[in-house]
Amino acid sequence: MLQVRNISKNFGSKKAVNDVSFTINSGEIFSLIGPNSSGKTTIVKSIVGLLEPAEGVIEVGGYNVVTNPEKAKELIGYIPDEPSIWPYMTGEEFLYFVQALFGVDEKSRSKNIPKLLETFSLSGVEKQYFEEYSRGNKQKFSITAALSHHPKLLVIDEPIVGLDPTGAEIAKKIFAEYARHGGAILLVTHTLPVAEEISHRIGFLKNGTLTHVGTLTELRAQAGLQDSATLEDIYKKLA
Amino acid sequence: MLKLFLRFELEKINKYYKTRTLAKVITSILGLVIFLVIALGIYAFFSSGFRYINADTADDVKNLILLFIYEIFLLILAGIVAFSALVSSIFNLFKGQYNNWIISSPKYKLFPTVIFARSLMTSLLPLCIVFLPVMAALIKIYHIEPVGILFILVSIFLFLLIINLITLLFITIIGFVYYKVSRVIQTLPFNFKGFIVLLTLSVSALISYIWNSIKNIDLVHLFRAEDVDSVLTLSVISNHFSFLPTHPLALEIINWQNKESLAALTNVGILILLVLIAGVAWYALSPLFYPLWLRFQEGPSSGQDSSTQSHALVYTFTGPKTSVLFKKEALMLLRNWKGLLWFLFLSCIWLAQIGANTIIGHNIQKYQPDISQKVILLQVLQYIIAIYFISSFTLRFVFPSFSVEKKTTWVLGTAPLNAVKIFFGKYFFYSFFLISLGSIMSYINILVLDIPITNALYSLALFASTILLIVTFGLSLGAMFPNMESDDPEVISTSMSGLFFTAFSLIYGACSDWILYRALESGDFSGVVFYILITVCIIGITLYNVPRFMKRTSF
Repeated sequence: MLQVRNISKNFGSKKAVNDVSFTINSGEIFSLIGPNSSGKTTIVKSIVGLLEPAEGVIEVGGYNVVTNPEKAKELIGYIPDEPSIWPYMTGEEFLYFVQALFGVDEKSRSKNIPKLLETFSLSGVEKQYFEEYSRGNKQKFSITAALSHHPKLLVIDEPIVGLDPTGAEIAKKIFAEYARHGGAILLVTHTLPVAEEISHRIGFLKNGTLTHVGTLTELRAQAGLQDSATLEDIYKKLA
Repeated sequence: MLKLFLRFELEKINKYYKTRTLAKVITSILGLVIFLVIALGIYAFFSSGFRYINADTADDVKNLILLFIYEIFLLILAGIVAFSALVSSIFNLFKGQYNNWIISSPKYKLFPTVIFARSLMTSLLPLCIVFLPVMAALIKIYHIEPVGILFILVSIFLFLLIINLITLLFITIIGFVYYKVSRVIQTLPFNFKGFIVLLTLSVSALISYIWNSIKNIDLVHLFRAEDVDSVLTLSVISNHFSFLPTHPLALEIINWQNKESLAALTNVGILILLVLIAGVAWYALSPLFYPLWLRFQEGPSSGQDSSTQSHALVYTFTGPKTSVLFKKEALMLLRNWKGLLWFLFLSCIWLAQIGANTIIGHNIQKYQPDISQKVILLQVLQYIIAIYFISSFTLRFVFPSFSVEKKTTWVLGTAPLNAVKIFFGKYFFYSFFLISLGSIMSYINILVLDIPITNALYSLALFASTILLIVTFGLSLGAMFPNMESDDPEVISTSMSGLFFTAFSLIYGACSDWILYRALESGDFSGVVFYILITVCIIGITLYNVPRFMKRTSF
């Protein structure tokens, strides 16, 4: 579903991303982990069309993100790390707005919204403005909006930050369920237990370069650690 | 704390110039040049007016006319300062982004005074652009002595202190009364929206009171022009303005002009006394701010059923994508309270001009059989003020509309839209909104001056095409050069492209006004038609090129 081939990006003299390549198949959850300023968010922004890579190719469902952005973006649902939304828009309106932008037909929008609100127990607060929401509720609405237009690829930057334990648990279940139904997920996170729990493969990013990629078992082997080693242990060894 | 605040403000300026220094220095110079041009215009207007009054008027009438002019001028200046302080202070006091840091510190009680200091600093700008050129004109025509100049400058600072103190006291008192009443009447919700509505109603009531007391003013009767033998004293005018805080300063200027130093110093003394009274009142009442601030932070559901805070009207964004974006713009503008208050502020300036024209037009029609030339002058004046009103609105709302989306870029940038659709969503909305607004303004102008239908139609066509060009140019510049450092519309407006837009709209507006004046005077409207055609061509070229430029830009 997602093909990233040899992408690089510079900010001035600093090389933020250096010749990174990876693929995510349908039904797969791929996590990118790495220290701060390792280039994770730059890669995410390049995939969703907020930044243009200096070199390389990104394809979503066979559509090039740079040359055919509208077709590629139709397939992507994006959940940012900082869910800033217009302060005077209600949560419910935001869901209508996002579905309208992604071309969901008008009848389906009205049917979808109550179901989506129920998923995160957002019913009852949907008619308040975003300026009135807690960070957690903003995050829940941004997750709900990303799922509302049935994307084929979900790009998630720090999904759990700001969510209460119940919300975090629901989010993890939703992502796993989404992948089971054939969706592809790119997850960028510092919360290693979450990545460990739901990812099929994990990539390590350091100074803009993808240094290690594999399943948890493969990564343990690459790090020379035993089967009981957690992702945190692997991270300490490899990062 | 105040020392820290001043250091912070200085550091902010220093930090501003640390990145892209050359571009920012050029921006500052361009800003200064624009302010200088405006100041020179004000200077030329007032010095020619003063010269005319000085040469052609009898001494007793001269003082009366000048006092009347000073009273009106200071009243308008006070209105601008007070309204600007009101709008910015309400949000800085209760909704400021970084307030929590100060409020959670042991010096929290000084916070309202910090906001007062900021408001005072901001109001120094109209002083420099508007009052100093008038002072220069006064000095040139009336040869005021250096000591007089010094005292007038001190007095204008005292005047700004009084106006800012009164404004902040007004906000605090209205807020406290609302707070107390909402505690007694349980069904009355206490929230920020209600507070703004209450403040708006109070200001409207005040304006309505002032308008009712001056709308039927008879200038000929006021100056006793029908009775040439009557002895005129300053009290003829003073009686109408003596209750206003602007009055001592107006009198003081007249006193320095007439070399009446003792009377002038007495008026300085009155101003100092007013500052002291307002200062003591502020000292006593500013502690009321803290409980209000606490309540405004509590959120919508505190102490109330959350359902009462729900916004029942939900927009479902139907239609094609450009229409969806159009509706989003409309919704966000109409729900932006700070924006609406700025809109109200700009409207008040325009309405003040309409009010003045109503009084002058009424007086001209009453006493002069041949009014055609005067009506042309008033029509041209109304036109340019309406154009500058539209330009101010465009600068404040249309030009920054791309930059203010910085934090929400992810929503539009990751949707299957191209930048051109986003541009036209905004363009259609603002063009529709401002042309509708311009049509209403033109209709009111026509009604006030009773302009013949042909003149009115040509004027309307010229006005609409100029508005469209201003919107096209403002939005295009804002889209091509978005501000990456700030999403504050007030800061964005002072960027280099913002200042360039200001200069452009000032010049283009003045040119179209001159074309209208020539056409009205000669009765030949071919120049207007030609100007409209040129305007339409410029709009076409801009709209053809800007989306092409945006397509090449990374969103």
